[in-house]
Amino acid sequence: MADPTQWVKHVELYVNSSSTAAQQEASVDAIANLLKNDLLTLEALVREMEMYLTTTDSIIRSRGILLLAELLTQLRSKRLNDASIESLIGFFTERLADWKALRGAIVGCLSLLRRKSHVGVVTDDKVKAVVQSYLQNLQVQSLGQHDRKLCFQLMECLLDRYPAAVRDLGDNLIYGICEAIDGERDPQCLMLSFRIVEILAGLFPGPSGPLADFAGDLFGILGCYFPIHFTHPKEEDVDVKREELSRALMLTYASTPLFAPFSIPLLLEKLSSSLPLTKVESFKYLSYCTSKYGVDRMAEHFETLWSSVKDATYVSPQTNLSTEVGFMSEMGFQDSDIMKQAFVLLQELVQQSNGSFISLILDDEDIKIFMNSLNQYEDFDNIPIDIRQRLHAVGRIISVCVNTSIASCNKVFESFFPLLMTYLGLSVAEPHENSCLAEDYNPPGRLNFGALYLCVEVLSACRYLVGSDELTPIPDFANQTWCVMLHNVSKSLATVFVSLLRSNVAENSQNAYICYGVKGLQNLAMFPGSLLAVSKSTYDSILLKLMSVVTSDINKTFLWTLAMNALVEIGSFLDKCPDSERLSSYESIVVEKIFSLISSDDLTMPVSLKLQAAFEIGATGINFMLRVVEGLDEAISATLSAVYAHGNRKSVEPTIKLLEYYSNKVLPWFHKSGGSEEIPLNFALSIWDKIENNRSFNLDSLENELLDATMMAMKQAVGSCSEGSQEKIINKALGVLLSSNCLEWMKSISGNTQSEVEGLQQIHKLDSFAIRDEWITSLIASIVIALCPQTYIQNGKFILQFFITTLLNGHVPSAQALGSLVNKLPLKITGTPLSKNLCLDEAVDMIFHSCIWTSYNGSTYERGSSEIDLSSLRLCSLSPESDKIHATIGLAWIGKGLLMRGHEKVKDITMTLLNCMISDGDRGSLPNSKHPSLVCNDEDLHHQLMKSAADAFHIIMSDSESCLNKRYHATIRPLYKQRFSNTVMPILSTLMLKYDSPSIRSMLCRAIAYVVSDTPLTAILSEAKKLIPLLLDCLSMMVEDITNKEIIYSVLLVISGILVDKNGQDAVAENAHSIVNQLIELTTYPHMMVIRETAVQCLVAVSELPHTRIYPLRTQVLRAMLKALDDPKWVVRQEAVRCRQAWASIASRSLHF
Amino acid sequence: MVSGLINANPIVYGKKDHRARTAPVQVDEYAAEPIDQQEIFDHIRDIKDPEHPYSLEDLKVITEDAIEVDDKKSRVRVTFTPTVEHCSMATVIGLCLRVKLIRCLPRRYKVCLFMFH
Repeated sequence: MADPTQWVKHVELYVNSSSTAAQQEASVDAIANLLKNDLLTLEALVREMEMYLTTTDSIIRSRGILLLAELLTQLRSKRLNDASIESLIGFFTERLADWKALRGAIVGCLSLLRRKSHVGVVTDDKVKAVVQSYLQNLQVQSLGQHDRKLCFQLMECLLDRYPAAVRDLGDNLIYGICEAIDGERDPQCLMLSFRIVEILAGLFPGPSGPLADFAGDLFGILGCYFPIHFTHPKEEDVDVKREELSRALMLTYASTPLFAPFSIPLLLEKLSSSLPLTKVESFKYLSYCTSKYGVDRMAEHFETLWSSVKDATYVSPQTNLSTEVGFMSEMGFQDSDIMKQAFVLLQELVQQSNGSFISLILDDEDIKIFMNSLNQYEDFDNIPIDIRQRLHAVGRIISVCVNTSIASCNKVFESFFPLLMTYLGLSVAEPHENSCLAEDYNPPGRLNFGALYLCVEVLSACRYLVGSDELTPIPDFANQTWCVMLHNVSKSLATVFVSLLRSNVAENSQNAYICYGVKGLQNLAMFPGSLLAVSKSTYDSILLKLMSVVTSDINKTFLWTLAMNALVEIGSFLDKCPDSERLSSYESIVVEKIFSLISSDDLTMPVSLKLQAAFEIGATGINFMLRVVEGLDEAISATLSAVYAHGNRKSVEPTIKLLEYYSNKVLPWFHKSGGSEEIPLNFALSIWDKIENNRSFNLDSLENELLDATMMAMKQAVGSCSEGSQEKIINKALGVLLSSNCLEWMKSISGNTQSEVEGLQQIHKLDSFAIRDEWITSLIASIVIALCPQTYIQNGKFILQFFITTLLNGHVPSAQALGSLVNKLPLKITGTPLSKNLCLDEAVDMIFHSCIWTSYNGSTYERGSSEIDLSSLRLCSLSPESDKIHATIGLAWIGKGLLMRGHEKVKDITMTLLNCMISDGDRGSLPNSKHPSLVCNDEDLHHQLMKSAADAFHIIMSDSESCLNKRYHATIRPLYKQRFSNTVMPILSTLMLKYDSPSIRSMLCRAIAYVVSDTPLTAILSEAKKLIPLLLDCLSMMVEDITNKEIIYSVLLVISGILVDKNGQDAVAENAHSIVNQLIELTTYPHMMVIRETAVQCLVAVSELPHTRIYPLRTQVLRAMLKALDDPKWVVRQEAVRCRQAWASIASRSLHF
Repeated sequence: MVSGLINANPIVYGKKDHRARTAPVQVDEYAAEPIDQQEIFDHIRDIKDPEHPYSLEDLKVITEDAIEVDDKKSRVRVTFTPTVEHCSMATVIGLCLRVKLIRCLPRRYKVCLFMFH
């Protein structure tokens, strides 16, 4: 047992009103812990606390009781014996009368009553005593907000947990609750009181129970809350939303049918309110109440309800004309919220009423008159806007009736359908009466638009009815009246719709007819075949017509798109509800046609449209897509053959399009839909087959676009394959490579490089590299770029060697492939190491020690030394500089690959590149034997080498689309850019201090600019103080050369990023003068508008700096802005006005200086 | 002296949307975009009327058509229409326009203001 002196001090601390809330909380926790661990019994505690619980000082007493209550709340899951519970609840029940110390009593009751049954609960007798004490002693509405909330929680708990105990109290209880909630205003308390009434209604469901007597009174209290409307939406409780409160009230209203005599009249009355919100809420409540009260209670209000729905939708409809013309479904109308809710109510009523409500609608005089007057408005253009709105409303009303139930659907068909058909010139009685309509039927004059519109609406509602899942078991549709009627006219209806599509006029008014013609056909085609409503022949003819539009009406964009969409909808419907007969029709008519379209080289239809149609149809189902892809494959194969073998120029462009479509749409679709990887695998293999079978390429080297598109498609295809398939592809490709001329070509090079210096001149001719070999190399590089890290590469060493050789000939994809290789190769080979297998360290060794880098080196190169000695390459007088440029680019990509996986060797590469940049100094070692003109040329080349070394930093830091990204499974360590920037920037800045040769400095600046502009801004901000002078140097250095404008812009963006950041501004303030000078210089940069614009914007940002720093610069900036006001570009002038204003106002408003 | 507004209840015409400058797809870096009517109008449309919380554009004191610009000769001529004839605020409006234009245009420009009767 714990020593009382230990815990009594906690009690004292809690009771003491001067201690802080945190202290009090801590003392409750401390005592509760003792109780939980049985170091202290409840009895001992209560005995010790006696003084606090019974003292006449009401403040101390209330604290004492609250402490006991809080402790019990914490002990909610600890088992207590019945005797303690009984005496405690007795105590708290009694204390409910003590209004000065009330809170503790309520919290105590609440925590005891909420206990779960396995840890000891309050008995029903005691519960009754609590309720009685509650009703007798608590004046809820005279309490504060928090206490009221606790009181309501207590009542909710009583009703919810102990219904049997409280039910006996009957009238008293209901009366007490009425009193407690009357006049409540706080949202949180209201939520609780609504909930209390809802539970109460559940307690006394009977029509003769005690609630029946009080229903009027109770609703009198609830009625005044409707509609829930917050006058101060922001200030008051944000924790209770209007929607939640409104929903709680709605549940309360609908909780018992006893409220119906009061609630329905109230809600109907509120419908006439002028506030839109009230109308919306009324309709919402009415629909919910209808579903809960049952049809008997509602029947007496049917007429009023119908007239109010009609009023809101038909008589004074509130629709917005949607601005989007074209793909309108509702003649361009959009229902307001009121109308939407009214239709929900209508649907509820039709569904509940079992036929009595629908006859109200069908017998409505207004609707009848409107239907009969449709003849007046034959032409769409002549229909006034208000009549169109009514037409829309009637259409919606009818479709709601149709899609609610089969019975109501039948009734609507019986009353309206024959009339509609008559307007369209058809008869519903017998199918053969309409047979006079020939295939090429043309409607006399203009078709009745109103009838057409309603007919299409009815059809789509029927389709909805058939498609709804709620109808179980599936009823026998085929014998329903509506189905028989539809069956009789479907064929002629299709003919009428088809005739609408045939019109040659492309004028605007026709659009409505065309739109509904297509929509009608689409709806007809989307009835399930089992329904017999639409026969197979009709279905086929619909598909044929739509297909003929797609193939021939390519100039009528509107019609074409509509027909295309309809076919897609029909296709995806088939995918959802398969039906063998329909499926075979669709396949033979639509999919096969598309197939033949793509595979034929018929040029009447543009390739892009063909491809669009093919993809959209294919995307509706996997089987269709497979067929479409088959067609695509054939087409690609055919055109590629034409290009390779016969050098057919005309085929080049379509081939590019096909390949692009393949890589941009088809492959991603398969990837997304989790389809088989056979598609990409076969695609890749077939391209290799093509190359294998065409031994000589009849191509110009100019067809680079085609090569690019093929490479792209190859990368995509390989990237979406699994490791196994990737292995197959790479093996196939290797086979082709080994049988090609590449090998001999490579041998010739390596033979030369072994020893014979004289041979060097020959090997760098890319001309010797035949077109076919270039294709093979590029495509193999594409494969390697997209491989997964896990894929096993056979003959890896050979591939690596091959790429190193091609790289030195300036083949960039090879460099990218090398980068990808070192990025993904496994660290170690597990299992039996084969001599031809490759692991990362080996690959890096091979690259670094490659004979091509080092062969001219004599003896200085030592294995294991950390730096690749690129300078050794330079020592050889005959080694052309162009070679080194290629090597630098290769190093850049390899470095990027290593950096992204976080390999340490990237440091060596960085050092090599840096050496290359600063190698300007020892020009003297060049042999003097050269011809003077050659020397000059050599200078130039050397400059280019330095530049490419600087540009390498761009390659390393920037994200690449073509390789080393997520899509191609690159290994990417987080924050790699930050890490690289952190290591390189210090080196670069020391080099800047060390060298003063302008050419070296400009190269260093270039590198710094590239690194900085791709480093995340947060990393830069922490270094801003050091970086800013460097960046300013960079800018002033690079302004000279016009080709640098993109770099200047990216550096400027970094500076503006620093300027607008809070932390950056301190760093900026120190250098304000030099920054402003540099920015002013850039405001006149002639070659790029965005640079001038950004510079001016930066100057605006500078004006926010501390006054003392920038005041001296004011005149300078204003003078520069005067010039900028006369800038040739509008955007810059606009910014200059802003900037001038900002700087003018930092002192006085005056602009004089 | 009669205190009170010259025109207590002006007609408010409302604003046009700020016309977005459509950037051509191929931007010619070096092509000049001379200062035009719309640009001048953008500078002065938001000046507040001295009497009311409306802008000069709202009250149609100035319109885009009432501006003439000649960028080559560096001249701009704005004609404004006070809401009522003999408006004693016309001088203030004129001053506002002039100051704003002087601040927003290059120095080479000569600004002429006319009042419409």
